[in-house]
Amino acid sequence: MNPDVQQPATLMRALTLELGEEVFAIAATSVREVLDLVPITVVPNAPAFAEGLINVRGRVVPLADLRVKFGMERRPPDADTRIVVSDIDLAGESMVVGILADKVHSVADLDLTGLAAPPDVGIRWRPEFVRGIATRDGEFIIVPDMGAIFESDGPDAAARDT
Amino acid sequence: MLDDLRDLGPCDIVANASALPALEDLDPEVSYLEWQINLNAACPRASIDDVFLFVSDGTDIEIAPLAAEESTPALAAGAERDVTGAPADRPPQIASQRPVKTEIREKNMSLRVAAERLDELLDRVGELVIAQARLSQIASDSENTGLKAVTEEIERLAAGLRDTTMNIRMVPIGSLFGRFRRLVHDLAGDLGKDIDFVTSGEDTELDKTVVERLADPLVHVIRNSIDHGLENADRRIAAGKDPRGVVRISAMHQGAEVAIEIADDGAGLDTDRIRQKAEEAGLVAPGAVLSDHDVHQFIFHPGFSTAREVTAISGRGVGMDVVSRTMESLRGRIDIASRPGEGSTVTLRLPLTLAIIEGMLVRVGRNCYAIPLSAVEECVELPIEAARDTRGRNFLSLRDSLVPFLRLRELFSVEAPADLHQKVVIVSTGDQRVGLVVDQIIGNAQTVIKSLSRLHADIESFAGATILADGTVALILDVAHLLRAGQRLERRLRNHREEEVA
Repeated sequence: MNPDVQQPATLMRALTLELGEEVFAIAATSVREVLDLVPITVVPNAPAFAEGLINVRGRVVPLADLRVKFGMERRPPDADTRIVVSDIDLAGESMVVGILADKVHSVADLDLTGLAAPPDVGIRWRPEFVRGIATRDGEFIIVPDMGAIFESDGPDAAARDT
Repeated sequence: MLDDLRDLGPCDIVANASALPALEDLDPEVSYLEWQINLNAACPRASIDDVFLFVSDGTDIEIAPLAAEESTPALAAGAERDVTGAPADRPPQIASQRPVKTEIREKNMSLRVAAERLDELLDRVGELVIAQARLSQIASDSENTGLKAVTEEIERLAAGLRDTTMNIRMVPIGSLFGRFRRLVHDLAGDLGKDIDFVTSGEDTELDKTVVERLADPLVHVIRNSIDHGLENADRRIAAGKDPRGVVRISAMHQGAEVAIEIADDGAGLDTDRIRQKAEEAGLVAPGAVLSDHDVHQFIFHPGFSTAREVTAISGRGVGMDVVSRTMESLRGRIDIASRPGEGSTVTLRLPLTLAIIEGMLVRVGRNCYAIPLSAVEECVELPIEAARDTRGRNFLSLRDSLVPFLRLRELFSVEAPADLHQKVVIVSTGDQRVGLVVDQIIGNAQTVIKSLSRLHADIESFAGATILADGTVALILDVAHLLRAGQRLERRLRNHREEEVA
């Protein structure tokens, strides 16, 4: 999806955010804005992964909680909670989603040279959701595959999540 | 158009601008120009009529054979008066280069704008209205009279701006009718039928998207009328009718709906044949008692066709199925009325706009929901005994008729305790009714419909979402789906009771 991945010796301008205990990196080019917590409308009977709707400048945008996909425990929002509004490519169609983050760190260049494939063992989440794991200052940063995560939200995936 | 005439033969074209008033007296909406075209050719009058086929509505056209001293047998002169829309300072010679433009029918100045820009404008206005609602909230807590005055002013302006923006999306349906004229003309030629195509209500306005999506279904209905409905001339004469068939298409406002009627004076639907075909296809058991109305519904079935053979025009059985599906997606309805020997009328009823509906806001638990007001029949209080009785009797006795009701809080798994006095909103379409139990009825609101993303596309209870004045998102209930759920509930309860009895 991002040409940077195919050329390992390049930098990705990435927004890093914290979810659970992990740090995730999202390509900054796909991020539209970062919002403070806004009122969330819960959609009854929706999959837990995308159970909310928010108003982003007059637009109704689904709110996704990546924690559900990564098997993390969900927790109520606090003062640090942010919503990262971002463009996602879903089956060739671009859509806008909000992504919940416990904390948003910064926008920085992420060196993808050392991007390691997700190990087969030792992780709780499904490997297809992760494009790779980068390191920065001895810290592991997960580069998620947003396309795969949102793509997996069929009815069967919803049943698995809840 | 002038080129078309030239194709028929040598033309002598004169623009008559003698009626043109002085610049200051010129009314840009009035036509002053007259064209005189002497066509020196041997051609039937019909081929000249063809050239003017699409402008005959907005112009005065006189066609007369030229004086007899000309050597050619059938000569014609057309004098055409038309609206040029030319700015007053433009010399008539320049205007004459492209005098008969498509704007002829649109007598007003108009502008072509990309649809996305309108959507963007609507979004911005939506944001403005939301921000304005917040401002009003702040002003109402303030003692500052200056602030209050300005806030009221802004409130008024924002409401006006919103209405205007909504109106921009409305386009007259006449733009579609023009296209059908050609279709009817071509079909009449192909089938060798003589058809009079009459349109009315071209000025009726509908949301742009609705008009666009209507084109296909209307083509199918008109084709059906011409191919299946209208008989050929011999049979018409035998039936004592004018050999020239009439297809009439009209559009009119009816409350918050637009009704589009396509009527023909043909043979009407062949009820027996439809029934026979339906039985062959296994759609209905032979000998079942069905009203004509029920039988007519079969023509909307996919793959259903009564045509004896597949022609280029129809008979593949896809047409009415398309109509029915499109109407469903536009939240519209179809009615068919047919009288044997006298013709049939197909009526399509559509909401005025897809972008905005009048909604009733209700609260269930902490969430607000909007119910399309057009579907709301009445609101009653949920009787205490029905409220306590959480299982079993989910029926409400309403003026001697039983109405099943759905508890939205159960449907939506709301955990917060219910209000003491719950309300029931009775919604209906046609003869089906279902009550929706809510905690509170908040009031009416104009709601801008936003469709749900693909992540929520498979949740059937909701037709979309809207943004409330306080900036929160409210879901719009899909009444058709809830009615189906109500019917399922009714059936289940009935079976349950029968089991208990047994």
